[in-house]
Amino acid sequence: MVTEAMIEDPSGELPSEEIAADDIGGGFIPVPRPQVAGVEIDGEEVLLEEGTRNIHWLNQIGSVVWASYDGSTLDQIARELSDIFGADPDLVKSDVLELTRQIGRVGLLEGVAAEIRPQPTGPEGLSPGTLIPDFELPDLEGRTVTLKDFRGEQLLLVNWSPRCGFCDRIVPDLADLQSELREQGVRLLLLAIGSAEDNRLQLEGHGLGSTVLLQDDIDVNIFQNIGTPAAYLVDADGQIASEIAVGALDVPVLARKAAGGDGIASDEG
Amino acid sequence: MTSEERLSKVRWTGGATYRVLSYYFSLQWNRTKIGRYLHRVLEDFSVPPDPGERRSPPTPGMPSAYRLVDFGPSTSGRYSLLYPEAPLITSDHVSDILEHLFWHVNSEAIRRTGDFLLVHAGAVVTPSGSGILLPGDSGAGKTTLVAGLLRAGFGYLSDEAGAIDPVTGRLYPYPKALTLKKHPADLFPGLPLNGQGGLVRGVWHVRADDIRPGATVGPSDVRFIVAPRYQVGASTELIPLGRAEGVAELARSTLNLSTYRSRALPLLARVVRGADCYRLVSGDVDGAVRALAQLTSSG
Repeated sequence: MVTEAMIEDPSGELPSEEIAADDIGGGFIPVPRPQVAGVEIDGEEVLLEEGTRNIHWLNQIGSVVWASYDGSTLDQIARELSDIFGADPDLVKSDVLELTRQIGRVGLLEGVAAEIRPQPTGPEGLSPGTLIPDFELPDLEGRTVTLKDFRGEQLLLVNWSPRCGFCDRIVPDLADLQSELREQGVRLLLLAIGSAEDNRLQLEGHGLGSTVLLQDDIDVNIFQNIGTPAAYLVDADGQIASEIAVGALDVPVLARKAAGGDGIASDEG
Repeated sequence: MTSEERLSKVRWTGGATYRVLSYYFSLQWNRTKIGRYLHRVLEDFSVPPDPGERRSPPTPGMPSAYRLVDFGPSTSGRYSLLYPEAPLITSDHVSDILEHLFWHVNSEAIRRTGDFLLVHAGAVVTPSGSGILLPGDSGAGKTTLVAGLLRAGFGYLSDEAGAIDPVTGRLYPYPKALTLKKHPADLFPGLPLNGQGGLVRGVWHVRADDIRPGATVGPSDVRFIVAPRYQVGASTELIPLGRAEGVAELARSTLNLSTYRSRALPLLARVVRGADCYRLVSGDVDGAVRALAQLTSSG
Protein backbone atom coordinates (compact mmCIF):
# COMPACT_ATOMS: atom_id res chain seq x y z
CA MET A 1 0.00 0.00 0.00
CA VAL A 2 1.25 3.37 -0.97
CA THR A 3 0.06 5.07 2.21
CA GLU A 4 1.67 2.52 4.52
CA ALA A 5 4.98 2.91 2.73
CA MET A 6 4.64 6.66 3.18
CA ILE A 7 4.16 6.36 6.91
CA GLU A 8 7.06 3.95 7.39
CA ASP A 9 9.45 6.02 5.30
CA PRO A 10 11.29 8.24 7.83
CA SER A 11 12.23 10.76 5.15
CA GLY A 12 8.71 10.99 3.77
CA GLU A 13 7.23 14.26 4.86
CA LEU A 14 3.78 15.03 3.57
CA PRO A 15 3.55 18.62 2.47
CA SER A 16 1.18 20.42 4.82
CA GLU A 17 -0.04 22.77 2.11
CA GLU A 18 -0.68 22.11 -1.54
CA ILE A 19 2.10 22.90 -3.98
CA ALA A 20 1.77 23.80 -7.66
CA ALA A 21 2.30 20.94 -10.10
CA ASP A 22 5.13 22.88 -11.75
CA ASP A 23 7.04 22.88 -8.46
CA ILE A 24 7.23 19.08 -8.35
CA GLY A 25 10.91 18.09 -8.31
CA GLY A 26 13.04 14.97 -7.90
CA GLY A 27 12.65 14.93 -4.11
CA PHE A 28 8.85 14.85 -4.30
CA ILE A 29 7.05 11.77 -3.00
CA PRO A 30 3.89 11.27 -5.05
CA VAL A 31 0.86 9.85 -3.26
CA PRO A 32 -2.39 9.26 -5.14
CA ARG A 33 -5.41 10.87 -3.52
CA PRO A 34 -7.27 8.18 -1.54
CA GLN A 35 -10.54 8.74 -3.42
CA VAL A 36 -8.93 7.91 -6.78
CA ALA A 37 -9.94 4.49 -8.12
CA GLY A 38 -8.32 2.90 -11.13
CA VAL A 39 -8.65 0.04 -13.54
CA GLU A 40 -6.01 -1.28 -15.93
CA ILE A 41 -6.77 -2.35 -19.47
CA ASP A 42 -4.23 -3.24 -22.18
CA GLY A 43 -1.45 -1.90 -19.96
CA GLU A 44 -3.14 1.50 -19.65
CA GLU A 45 -4.73 2.87 -16.51
CA VAL A 46 -8.12 4.61 -16.32
CA LEU A 47 -8.56 6.71 -13.18
CA LEU A 48 -11.71 8.09 -11.59
CA GLU A 49 -11.91 10.42 -8.62
CA GLU A 50 -14.87 9.14 -6.54
CA GLY A 51 -17.88 11.43 -6.47
CA THR A 52 -16.70 13.45 -9.47
CA ARG A 53 -16.49 13.21 -13.23
CA ASN A 54 -12.72 13.62 -12.95
CA ILE A 55 -11.77 10.76 -15.31
CA HIS A 56 -8.40 10.26 -16.97
CA TRP A 57 -6.60 7.60 -18.88
CA LEU A 58 -2.84 7.21 -18.81
CA ASN A 59 -0.84 5.81 -21.71
CA GLN A 60 1.49 2.85 -21.08
CA ILE A 61 4.42 4.96 -19.88
CA GLY A 62 2.12 7.05 -17.71
CA SER A 63 0.63 3.86 -16.27
CA VAL A 64 4.07 2.45 -15.42
CA VAL A 65 4.91 5.70 -13.62
CA TRP A 66 1.55 5.69 -11.79
CA ALA A 67 2.08 2.08 -10.69
CA SER A 68 5.52 2.95 -9.33
CA TYR A 69 4.25 5.48 -6.76
CA ASP A 70 5.26 3.36 -3.77
CA GLY A 71 6.45 5.95 -1.27
CA SER A 72 9.77 6.59 -2.96
CA THR A 73 10.90 9.97 -4.24
CA LEU A 74 10.67 10.67 -7.97
CA ASP A 75 14.48 10.49 -8.16
CA GLN A 76 14.38 6.97 -6.68
CA ILE A 77 11.52 5.96 -8.98
CA ALA A 78 13.36 7.28 -12.04
CA ARG A 79 16.55 5.38 -11.10
CA GLU A 80 14.61 2.17 -10.61
CA LEU A 81 12.75 2.52 -13.92
CA SER A 82 15.91 3.31 -15.86
CA ASP A 83 17.52 0.17 -14.37
CA ILE A 84 14.51 -1.97 -15.31
CA PHE A 85 14.19 -0.64 -18.86
CA GLY A 86 17.91 -0.01 -19.43
CA ALA A 87 17.13 3.54 -20.52
CA ASP A 88 19.07 6.80 -20.20
CA PRO A 89 18.58 7.91 -16.54
CA ASP A 90 18.29 11.63 -17.42
CA LEU A 91 15.65 10.94 -20.04
CA VAL A 92 13.67 8.71 -17.67
CA LYS A 93 13.87 11.33 -14.92
CA SER A 94 12.54 14.08 -17.15
CA ASP A 95 9.70 11.82 -18.33
CA VAL A 96 8.82 10.83 -14.75
CA LEU A 97 8.84 14.48 -13.64
CA GLU A 98 6.72 15.68 -16.54
CA LEU A 99 4.16 12.87 -16.23
CA THR A 100 3.87 13.37 -12.48
CA ARG A 101 3.31 17.10 -12.97
CA GLN A 102 0.55 16.30 -15.47
CA ILE A 103 -1.03 13.83 -13.07
CA GLY A 104 -0.81 16.46 -10.31
CA ARG A 105 -2.35 19.16 -12.49
CA VAL A 106 -5.56 17.17 -12.95
CA GLY A 107 -5.98 16.71 -9.20
CA LEU A 108 -4.99 13.09 -8.70
CA LEU A 109 -2.10 13.58 -6.22
CA GLU A 110 -2.18 14.42 -2.52
CA GLY A 111 -0.66 17.81 -1.73
CA VAL A 112 -0.68 19.04 -5.33
CA ALA A 113 -3.11 21.79 -6.28
CA ALA A 114 -5.44 20.81 -9.12
CA GLU A 115 -5.40 23.30 -11.95
CA ILE A 116 -8.70 22.04 -13.30
CA ARG A 117 -11.47 21.64 -10.77
CA PRO A 118 -13.21 18.30 -11.22
CA GLN A 119 -16.87 18.45 -12.17
CA PRO A 120 -19.07 16.77 -9.61
CA THR A 121 -21.48 14.04 -10.64
CA GLY A 122 -25.23 14.27 -10.30
CA PRO A 123 -27.22 17.46 -10.20
CA GLU A 124 -24.63 19.44 -8.24
CA GLY A 125 -23.64 21.62 -11.22
CA LEU A 126 -20.27 23.33 -11.56
CA SER A 127 -18.30 23.95 -8.37
CA PRO A 128 -18.02 27.42 -6.85
CA GLY A 129 -14.81 29.02 -8.06
CA THR A 130 -15.17 27.61 -11.59
CA LEU A 131 -14.48 30.24 -14.21
CA ILE A 132 -17.42 30.19 -16.60
CA PRO A 133 -16.20 29.70 -20.16
CA ASP A 134 -16.92 32.74 -22.29
CA PHE A 135 -19.86 32.47 -24.68
CA GLU A 136 -21.53 34.51 -27.37
CA LEU A 137 -25.32 34.56 -27.54
CA PRO A 138 -28.00 36.78 -29.10
CA ASP A 139 -30.18 38.90 -26.82
CA LEU A 140 -33.89 39.55 -27.43
CA GLU A 141 -33.06 42.31 -29.89
CA GLY A 142 -30.75 40.01 -31.85
CA ARG A 143 -27.54 41.73 -30.70
CA THR A 144 -24.63 39.42 -29.97
CA VAL A 145 -23.54 39.58 -26.36
CA THR A 146 -20.56 37.85 -24.76
CA LEU A 147 -20.16 36.90 -21.13
CA LYS A 148 -17.12 39.18 -20.97
CA ASP A 149 -19.46 42.14 -21.55
CA PHE A 150 -20.68 41.58 -17.98
CA ARG A 151 -17.26 41.39 -16.30
CA GLY A 152 -17.23 43.66 -13.28
CA GLU A 153 -20.87 42.93 -12.50
CA GLN A 154 -22.24 40.24 -10.23
CA LEU A 155 -24.76 38.04 -12.01
CA LEU A 156 -27.64 35.87 -11.01
CA LEU A 157 -27.42 33.49 -13.97
CA VAL A 158 -30.63 31.52 -14.49
CA ASN A 159 -31.28 28.61 -16.85
CA TRP A 160 -34.69 29.48 -18.27
CA SER A 161 -37.53 28.39 -20.50
CA PRO A 162 -40.66 30.48 -21.11
CA ARG A 163 -42.53 27.20 -21.62
CA CYS A 164 -41.54 25.71 -18.27
CA GLY A 165 -44.28 25.80 -15.64
CA PHE A 166 -41.76 26.10 -12.80
CA CYS A 167 -40.10 29.13 -14.45
CA ASP A 168 -43.50 30.70 -14.92
CA ARG A 169 -44.25 30.18 -11.26
CA ILE A 170 -41.16 32.07 -10.07
CA VAL A 171 -41.43 35.06 -12.43
CA PRO A 172 -43.38 37.09 -9.79
CA ASP A 173 -40.75 36.24 -7.13
CA LEU A 174 -37.96 37.44 -9.37
CA ALA A 175 -39.93 40.54 -10.38
CA ASP A 176 -40.42 41.41 -6.68
CA LEU A 177 -36.69 41.14 -6.07
CA GLN A 178 -35.41 43.02 -9.08
CA SER A 179 -35.01 46.45 -7.45
CA GLU A 180 -33.18 44.93 -4.45
CA LEU A 181 -30.94 42.93 -6.77
CA ARG A 182 -30.14 46.14 -8.65
CA GLU A 183 -29.30 47.90 -5.36
CA GLN A 184 -26.89 45.11 -4.51
CA GLY A 185 -25.30 45.44 -7.94
CA VAL A 186 -26.53 42.05 -9.11
CA ARG A 187 -27.73 41.70 -12.67
CA LEU A 188 -30.40 39.09 -13.39
CA LEU A 189 -29.32 37.26 -16.54
CA LEU A 190 -31.59 34.60 -18.04
CA LEU A 191 -30.07 32.00 -20.37
CA ALA A 192 -33.27 31.05 -22.13
CA ILE A 193 -34.44 28.58 -24.69
CA GLY A 194 -37.49 29.33 -26.84
CA SER A 195 -38.21 32.26 -29.12
CA ALA A 196 -37.48 35.92 -28.38
CA GLU A 197 -41.21 36.57 -28.64
CA ASP A 198 -42.22 33.91 -26.06
CA ASN A 199 -39.59 35.19 -23.64
CA ARG A 200 -40.55 38.83 -24.10
CA LEU A 201 -44.26 38.10 -23.58
CA GLN A 202 -43.64 36.13 -20.41
CA LEU A 203 -41.42 38.73 -18.77
CA GLU A 204 -43.45 41.77 -19.85
CA GLY A 205 -46.55 40.15 -18.41
CA HIS A 206 -44.97 40.38 -14.95
CA GLY A 207 -42.91 43.54 -15.40
CA LEU A 208 -39.68 41.60 -15.06
CA GLY A 209 -36.89 43.57 -16.74
CA SER A 210 -33.99 41.14 -16.87
CA THR A 211 -31.38 40.59 -19.53
CA VAL A 212 -32.29 37.56 -21.64
CA LEU A 213 -29.84 35.67 -23.85
CA LEU A 214 -31.16 33.02 -26.20
CA GLN A 215 -29.32 29.73 -26.19
CA ASP A 216 -31.58 27.86 -28.56
CA ASP A 217 -29.04 26.52 -31.01
CA ILE A 218 -25.94 26.98 -28.94
CA ASP A 219 -25.49 24.79 -25.91
CA VAL A 220 -23.23 26.75 -23.59
CA ASN A 221 -23.38 23.78 -21.22
CA ILE A 222 -23.05 25.76 -18.03
CA PHE A 223 -26.07 24.08 -16.51
CA GLN A 224 -25.08 20.59 -17.70
CA ASN A 225 -28.54 19.40 -18.71
CA ILE A 226 -29.88 20.10 -15.22
CA GLY A 227 -33.10 21.63 -16.54
CA THR A 228 -35.05 24.78 -15.80
CA PRO A 229 -35.12 26.77 -13.65
CA ALA A 230 -31.63 26.52 -12.20
CA ALA A 231 -29.29 29.31 -11.12
CA TYR A 232 -25.79 30.27 -10.04
CA LEU A 233 -24.43 33.45 -8.59
CA VAL A 234 -21.46 34.66 -10.61
CA ASP A 235 -18.93 37.11 -9.21
CA ALA A 236 -17.47 40.16 -10.96
CA ASP A 237 -14.57 38.06 -12.31
CA GLY A 238 -16.90 35.60 -14.03
CA GLN A 239 -16.43 32.83 -11.47
CA ILE A 240 -19.26 30.80 -10.02
CA ALA A 241 -19.90 32.08 -6.50
CA SER A 242 -22.61 29.74 -5.20
CA GLU A 243 -23.74 26.15 -5.31
CA ILE A 244 -26.27 25.58 -8.04
CA ALA A 245 -29.91 26.21 -7.08
CA VAL A 246 -32.41 23.96 -8.85
CA GLY A 247 -36.18 24.29 -9.06
CA ALA A 248 -39.00 26.67 -8.25
CA LEU A 249 -38.19 26.62 -4.51
CA ASP A 250 -34.42 26.98 -4.48
CA VAL A 251 -33.94 29.52 -7.26
CA PRO A 252 -35.98 32.25 -5.47
CA VAL A 253 -34.08 31.41 -2.25
CA LEU A 254 -30.79 32.06 -4.03
CA ALA A 255 -32.22 35.23 -5.60
CA ARG A 256 -33.31 36.49 -2.15
CA LYS A 257 -29.85 35.79 -0.81
CA ALA A 258 -28.31 37.74 -3.68
CA ALA A 259 -30.74 40.59 -3.04
CA GLY A 260 -29.45 40.87 0.50
CA GLY A 261 -32.20 38.86 2.20
CA ASP A 262 -31.52 35.89 4.41
CA GLY A 263 -32.44 33.35 1.80
CA ILE A 264 -35.35 32.06 3.83
CA ALA A 265 -38.77 32.27 2.23
CA SER A 266 -41.13 34.64 4.04
CA ASP A 267 -44.59 33.57 5.09
CA GLU A 268 -46.30 36.38 3.23
CA GLY A 269 -46.30 34.78 -0.19
CA MET B 1 -64.21 27.23 -9.39
CA THR B 2 -61.19 25.93 -7.47
CA SER B 3 -58.84 23.54 -9.18
CA GLU B 4 -60.12 20.70 -6.93
CA GLU B 5 -63.67 21.39 -8.10
CA ARG B 6 -62.55 21.57 -11.71
CA LEU B 7 -60.66 18.32 -11.29
CA SER B 8 -63.62 16.57 -9.66
CA LYS B 9 -65.64 17.18 -12.83
CA VAL B 10 -63.04 15.56 -15.09
CA ARG B 11 -64.12 12.30 -16.65
CA TRP B 12 -61.11 10.10 -17.32
CA THR B 13 -61.42 8.38 -20.68
CA GLY B 14 -58.37 6.17 -20.62
CA GLY B 15 -55.15 5.14 -18.97
CA ALA B 16 -52.29 2.66 -19.03
CA THR B 17 -49.39 1.40 -16.94
CA TYR B 18 -45.77 1.39 -18.07
CA ARG B 19 -42.36 0.31 -16.89
CA VAL B 20 -39.37 2.20 -18.27
CA LEU B 21 -36.20 0.54 -16.93
CA SER B 22 -36.85 0.54 -13.15
CA TYR B 23 -39.49 3.27 -13.31
CA TYR B 24 -43.06 2.01 -12.92
CA PHE B 25 -45.80 4.54 -13.56
CA SER B 26 -49.38 4.95 -14.67
CA LEU B 27 -50.92 7.56 -16.92
CA GLN B 28 -54.52 8.73 -17.07
CA TRP B 29 -56.04 11.11 -19.57
CA ASN B 30 -59.39 12.67 -20.41
CA ARG B 31 -58.85 13.24 -24.17
CA THR B 32 -58.70 10.17 -26.37
CA LYS B 33 -56.64 11.88 -29.07
CA ILE B 34 -53.92 12.82 -26.57
CA GLY B 35 -54.11 9.42 -24.92
CA ARG B 36 -53.69 7.68 -28.24
CA TYR B 37 -50.60 9.76 -29.03
CA LEU B 38 -49.09 9.11 -25.60
CA HIS B 39 -49.75 5.40 -25.75
CA ARG B 40 -48.28 5.19 -29.23
CA VAL B 41 -45.02 6.77 -28.00
CA LEU B 42 -44.88 4.66 -24.82
CA GLU B 43 -46.43 1.44 -26.11
CA ASP B 44 -43.19 -0.53 -26.01
CA PHE B 45 -43.09 -0.05 -22.21
CA SER B 46 -46.70 -0.99 -21.60
CA VAL B 47 -47.28 -3.52 -18.78
CA PRO B 48 -50.55 -4.93 -17.44
CA PRO B 49 -51.65 -3.15 -14.26
CA ASP B 50 -51.62 -5.17 -11.06
CA PRO B 51 -55.31 -5.84 -10.30
CA GLY B 52 -54.52 -6.04 -6.58
CA GLU B 53 -53.06 -2.52 -6.44
CA ARG B 54 -54.82 -0.10 -4.12
CA ARG B 55 -54.33 3.59 -3.73
CA SER B 56 -55.70 3.70 -0.21
CA PRO B 57 -54.03 2.20 1.70
CA PRO B 58 -51.35 2.17 -1.02
CA THR B 59 -49.92 -1.16 -2.12
CA PRO B 60 -46.13 -1.17 -1.71
CA GLY B 61 -44.39 -0.67 -5.05
CA MET B 62 -47.47 0.77 -6.72
CA PRO B 63 -46.80 2.93 -9.74
CA SER B 64 -46.19 6.68 -9.70
CA ALA B 65 -49.30 8.25 -11.17
CA TYR B 66 -49.45 10.96 -13.82
CA ARG B 67 -52.72 12.51 -14.95
CA LEU B 68 -52.93 14.60 -18.08
CA VAL B 69 -56.00 16.79 -18.10
CA ASP B 70 -57.57 19.06 -20.72
CA PHE B 71 -59.95 21.50 -18.99
CA GLY B 72 -61.48 22.60 -22.28
CA PRO B 73 -60.94 25.28 -24.91
CA SER B 74 -62.24 28.31 -23.00
CA THR B 75 -60.00 27.75 -19.95
CA SER B 76 -56.78 29.65 -19.35
CA GLY B 77 -54.10 27.11 -18.45
CA ARG B 78 -56.11 24.63 -20.48
CA TYR B 79 -53.79 21.63 -20.10
CA SER B 80 -52.25 20.36 -16.88
CA LEU B 81 -49.97 17.47 -15.98
CA LEU B 82 -50.63 16.25 -12.42
CA TYR B 83 -48.18 14.08 -10.47
CA PRO B 84 -50.15 12.69 -8.69
CA GLU B 85 -52.25 15.58 -7.31
CA ALA B 86 -50.12 18.71 -7.77
CA PRO B 87 -49.53 20.12 -11.25
CA LEU B 88 -46.05 19.59 -12.66
CA ILE B 89 -46.80 21.98 -15.49
CA THR B 90 -49.83 23.90 -16.75
CA SER B 91 -50.02 25.43 -20.19
CA ASP B 92 -52.30 26.52 -23.01
CA HIS B 93 -50.30 24.29 -25.34
CA VAL B 94 -50.50 20.51 -25.20
CA SER B 95 -47.04 20.42 -26.75
CA ASP B 96 -45.51 21.85 -23.55
CA ILE B 97 -47.25 19.24 -21.45
CA LEU B 98 -46.17 16.27 -23.53
CA GLU B 99 -42.61 17.53 -23.84
CA HIS B 100 -42.46 17.88 -20.05
CA LEU B 101 -43.99 14.45 -19.48
CA PHE B 102 -41.48 12.70 -21.75
CA TRP B 103 -38.62 14.61 -20.15
CA HIS B 104 -39.91 13.73 -16.67
CA VAL B 105 -40.32 10.03 -17.46
CA ASN B 106 -36.83 9.83 -18.98
CA SER B 107 -35.22 11.68 -16.02
CA GLU B 108 -37.06 9.56 -13.44
CA ALA B 109 -36.18 6.37 -15.30
CA ILE B 110 -32.50 7.33 -15.23
CA ARG B 111 -32.64 8.56 -11.62
CA ARG B 112 -34.40 5.47 -10.28
CA THR B 113 -32.46 2.86 -12.21
CA GLY B 114 -29.63 1.88 -9.92
CA ASP B 115 -29.29 -1.73 -11.04
CA PHE B 116 -28.21 -1.15 -14.64
CA LEU B 117 -25.22 1.06 -15.37
CA LEU B 118 -26.61 3.61 -17.82
CA VAL B 119 -24.39 5.13 -20.47
CA HIS B 120 -25.62 8.19 -22.39
CA ALA B 121 -25.44 6.44 -25.74
CA GLY B 122 -27.28 5.07 -28.70
CA ALA B 123 -27.37 1.27 -28.64
CA VAL B 124 -27.92 -1.02 -31.61
CA VAL B 125 -27.23 -4.62 -32.60
CA THR B 126 -25.73 -5.73 -35.93
CA PRO B 127 -27.72 -8.16 -38.11
CA SER B 128 -25.35 -10.89 -36.87
CA GLY B 129 -26.07 -10.08 -33.22
CA SER B 130 -23.10 -7.92 -32.08
CA GLY B 131 -23.97 -5.02 -29.77
CA ILE B 132 -22.73 -1.51 -30.60
CA LEU B 133 -22.64 1.28 -28.03
CA LEU B 134 -22.58 4.82 -29.45
CA PRO B 135 -21.69 7.08 -26.49
CA GLY B 136 -22.07 10.81 -26.90
CA ASP B 137 -23.53 14.00 -25.47
CA SER B 138 -26.76 15.54 -26.69
CA GLY B 139 -26.12 16.92 -30.16
CA ALA B 140 -23.50 14.31 -31.09
CA GLY B 141 -25.96 12.86 -33.61
CA LYS B 142 -26.86 9.66 -31.76
CA THR B 143 -30.55 9.52 -32.65
CA THR B 144 -30.10 10.29 -36.34
CA LEU B 145 -27.35 7.69 -36.62
CA VAL B 146 -29.41 5.09 -34.75
CA ALA B 147 -32.40 5.75 -37.04
CA GLY B 148 -30.15 5.32 -40.09
CA LEU B 149 -28.75 2.05 -38.71
CA LEU B 150 -32.25 0.68 -38.08
CA ARG B 151 -33.17 1.36 -41.69
CA ALA B 152 -30.03 -0.50 -42.73
CA GLY B 153 -31.15 -3.61 -40.83
CA PHE B 154 -29.56 -3.14 -37.39
CA GLY B 155 -31.59 -4.01 -34.28
CA TYR B 156 -32.77 -1.34 -31.85
CA LEU B 157 -31.91 -1.08 -28.16
CA SER B 158 -32.04 2.69 -27.49
CA ASP B 159 -31.36 6.18 -28.82
CA GLU B 160 -30.78 7.56 -25.31
CA ALA B 161 -29.12 5.13 -22.92
CA GLY B 162 -27.17 1.91 -23.10
CA ALA B 163 -28.25 -0.20 -20.09
CA ILE B 164 -25.44 -2.50 -18.94
CA ASP B 165 -26.35 -5.36 -16.62
CA PRO B 166 -23.69 -5.64 -13.88
CA VAL B 167 -24.14 -9.40 -13.55
CA THR B 168 -23.71 -10.45 -17.17
CA GLY B 169 -22.07 -7.31 -18.62
CA ARG B 170 -24.64 -7.45 -21.43
CA LEU B 171 -26.41 -4.51 -23.05
CA TYR B 172 -30.17 -4.39 -22.38
CA PRO B 173 -32.86 -2.59 -24.38
CA TYR B 174 -34.28 0.79 -23.39
CA PRO B 175 -36.37 0.97 -26.57
CA LYS B 176 -37.95 4.41 -26.19
CA ALA B 177 -39.49 6.04 -29.26
CA LEU B 178 -36.71 7.82 -31.14
CA THR B 179 -36.77 11.58 -30.55
CA LEU B 180 -35.97 13.12 -33.92
CA LYS B 181 -35.47 16.88 -34.12
CA LYS B 182 -35.81 16.97 -37.90
CA HIS B 183 -38.85 15.85 -39.82
CA PRO B 184 -38.34 12.11 -40.36
CA ALA B 185 -39.44 12.43 -43.97
CA ASP B 186 -36.53 14.83 -44.60
CA LEU B 187 -34.08 12.37 -43.11
CA PHE B 188 -35.57 9.21 -44.53
CA PRO B 189 -37.75 9.78 -47.57
CA GLY B 190 -40.39 7.11 -47.87
CA LEU B 191 -40.65 6.38 -44.15
CA PRO B 192 -44.29 5.67 -43.31
CA LEU B 193 -45.24 8.14 -40.59
CA ASN B 194 -48.41 6.78 -39.02
CA GLY B 195 -49.23 10.16 -37.52
CA GLN B 196 -46.41 10.53 -35.00
CA GLY B 197 -45.84 14.20 -35.66
CA GLY B 198 -48.05 17.03 -34.67
CA LEU B 199 -48.50 17.13 -30.91
CA VAL B 200 -45.01 18.18 -29.79
CA ARG B 201 -43.49 21.20 -31.51
CA GLY B 202 -40.26 20.57 -33.38
CA VAL B 203 -39.92 16.95 -32.21
CA TRP B 204 -41.01 13.74 -33.87
CA HIS B 205 -41.44 10.62 -31.78
CA VAL B 206 -40.89 7.65 -34.01
CA ARG B 207 -41.11 4.10 -32.76
CA ALA B 208 -38.34 1.78 -33.92
CA ASP B 209 -40.88 -0.62 -35.38
CA ASP B 210 -42.22 2.18 -37.60
CA ILE B 211 -38.76 2.62 -39.07
CA ARG B 212 -38.45 -1.12 -39.62
CA PRO B 213 -40.96 -3.69 -38.36
CA GLY B 214 -39.36 -6.01 -35.84
CA ALA B 215 -36.43 -3.63 -35.25
CA THR B 216 -36.45 -3.86 -31.44
CA VAL B 217 -34.26 -6.72 -30.21
CA GLY B 218 -33.20 -8.36 -26.95
CA PRO B 219 -30.02 -8.12 -24.83
CA SER B 220 -26.69 -8.51 -26.54
CA ASP B 221 -22.94 -8.58 -25.85
CA VAL B 222 -21.06 -5.37 -26.66
CA ARG B 223 -18.60 -5.92 -29.52
CA PHE B 224 -18.07 -2.34 -30.65
CA ILE B 225 -17.89 1.03 -28.92
CA VAL B 226 -18.10 3.88 -31.39
CA ALA B 227 -18.26 7.48 -30.16
CA PRO B 228 -20.02 9.45 -32.91
CA ARG B 229 -19.44 13.12 -33.54
CA TYR B 230 -21.56 14.93 -36.11
CA GLN B 231 -19.62 17.68 -37.85
CA VAL B 232 -21.18 19.72 -40.62
CA GLY B 233 -19.41 19.00 -43.91
CA ALA B 234 -16.94 16.49 -42.46
CA SER B 235 -16.07 13.41 -44.48
CA THR B 236 -16.71 10.15 -42.65
CA GLU B 237 -13.76 8.81 -40.71
CA LEU B 238 -13.42 5.97 -38.20
CA ILE B 239 -10.50 6.50 -35.83
CA PRO B 240 -9.43 3.54 -33.67
CA LEU B 241 -9.23 4.22 -29.92
CA GLY B 242 -7.30 2.30 -27.28
CA ARG B 243 -9.43 0.31 -24.86
CA ALA B 244 -8.42 2.51 -21.92
CA GLU B 245 -9.62 5.55 -23.82
CA GLY B 246 -12.80 3.61 -24.59
CA VAL B 247 -13.34 3.01 -20.86
CA ALA B 248 -12.72 6.70 -20.13
CA GLU B 249 -15.18 7.67 -22.88
CA LEU B 250 -17.90 5.42 -21.43
CA ALA B 251 -17.20 6.56 -17.85
CA ARG B 252 -17.57 10.21 -18.91
CA SER B 253 -20.90 9.35 -20.55
CA THR B 254 -22.23 7.33 -17.60
CA LEU B 255 -25.54 8.84 -16.54
CA ASN B 256 -25.72 7.26 -13.08
CA LEU B 257 -22.05 7.63 -12.11
CA SER B 258 -23.13 9.17 -8.80
CA THR B 259 -24.86 5.86 -7.97
CA TYR B 260 -22.23 3.53 -9.38
CA ARG B 261 -19.16 5.58 -8.34
CA SER B 262 -15.92 3.62 -8.68
CA ARG B 263 -17.84 0.34 -9.19
CA ALA B 264 -18.42 1.67 -12.71
CA LEU B 265 -14.76 1.21 -13.70
CA PRO B 266 -14.39 -2.58 -13.38
CA LEU B 267 -17.77 -3.11 -15.08
CA LEU B 268 -16.90 -0.80 -17.96
CA ALA B 269 -13.45 -2.39 -18.28
CA ARG B 270 -15.11 -5.81 -18.49
CA VAL B 271 -17.42 -4.58 -21.25
CA VAL B 272 -14.60 -2.88 -23.17
CA ARG B 273 -12.28 -5.94 -22.97
CA GLY B 274 -14.66 -7.72 -25.33
CA ALA B 275 -15.02 -4.78 -27.72
CA ASP B 276 -13.18 -2.69 -30.32
CA CYS B 277 -13.29 1.08 -29.78
CA TYR B 278 -13.50 3.87 -32.35
CA ARG B 279 -14.37 7.50 -32.78
CA LEU B 280 -16.62 8.21 -35.77
CA VAL B 281 -16.52 11.70 -37.27
CA SER B 282 -19.10 12.26 -39.95
CA GLY B 283 -21.06 14.95 -41.74
CA ASP B 284 -23.77 12.73 -43.21
CA VAL B 285 -25.81 9.91 -41.83
CA ASP B 286 -25.58 7.69 -44.92
CA GLY B 287 -21.78 7.78 -44.87
CA ALA B 288 -21.73 7.02 -41.16
CA VAL B 289 -24.12 4.08 -41.59
CA ARG B 290 -22.02 2.66 -44.46
CA ALA B 291 -18.83 2.97 -42.39
CA LEU B 292 -20.40 1.16 -39.45
CA ALA B 293 -21.95 -1.54 -41.61
CA GLN B 294 -18.57 -2.20 -43.21
CA LEU B 295 -16.69 -2.17 -39.90
CA THR B 296 -19.06 -4.55 -38.15
CA SER B 297 -19.55 -7.00 -41.01
CA SER B 298 -15.83 -7.64 -41.41
CA GLY B 299 -15.32 -8.31 -37.69
